[in-house]
Amino acid sequence: MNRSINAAVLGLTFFLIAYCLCFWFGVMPKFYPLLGEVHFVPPPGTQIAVKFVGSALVGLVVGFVGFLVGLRLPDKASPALHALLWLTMTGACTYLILREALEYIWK
Amino acid sequence: MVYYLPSDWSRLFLIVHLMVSVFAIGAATHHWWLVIHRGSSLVRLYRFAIWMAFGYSLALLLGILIYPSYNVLVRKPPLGVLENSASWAVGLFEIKEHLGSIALAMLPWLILSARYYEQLGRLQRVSYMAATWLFTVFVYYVFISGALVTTIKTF
Repeated sequence: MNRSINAAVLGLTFFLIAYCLCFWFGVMPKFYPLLGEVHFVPPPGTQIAVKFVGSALVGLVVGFVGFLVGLRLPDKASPALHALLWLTMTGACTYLILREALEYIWK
Repeated sequence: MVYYLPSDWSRLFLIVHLMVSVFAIGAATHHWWLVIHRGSSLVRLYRFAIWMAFGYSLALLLGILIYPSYNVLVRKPPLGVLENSASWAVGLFEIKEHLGSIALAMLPWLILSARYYEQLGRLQRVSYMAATWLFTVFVYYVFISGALVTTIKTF
């Protein structure tokens, strides 16, 4: 039991780190597999960077790796993993909210 | 190549997205209520965690389908006007996308914690409760900011 929860916690930590790194370094993946076969109208003008979906998919893949790593960690790692997660969560939310607030709300 | 739905299709998907979101927010609220009230049925807790995950994932998927249309038809010039007329609303929407993505990644943790609630240690229960609060706040923010942007400008 503990191991599966540890795995989910570490997976979420990995997700947050990968997701934020995508934005920090401006790596905005532009793939959009869900819409590949749903063709309605060609887009006007410049190509749209579908940054959220792409970054989230990268984050989910990295998060899954974190989940697999977490399954191999001992039960006693749980307090450290939870502490790491909440630190990462605080940092990630602060960074992501400030990033958009500075770019669009307080510009 | 990026594809997007035309405005009439986008409007239809937006309505379905809204309906599924109401379901998801209901399930998330029930889950939160069961977590903060001690002595709740663990079977119900797990059931609502599953419904919450199902509803939220479906709502997110429908949102992903109309996201390119939002970008082209609502937000970015030359067709979209929101970025020029109300950039603060775009900012709220961007924050919503971030919090929505994080909430999605939180779901496995919430489901597993609900499933094995009896076996959780004290630290894990506190962490689960904090995560439930955070997830619920995220979901409400996503719902309210999405509704707000839709009332300002839609397809």
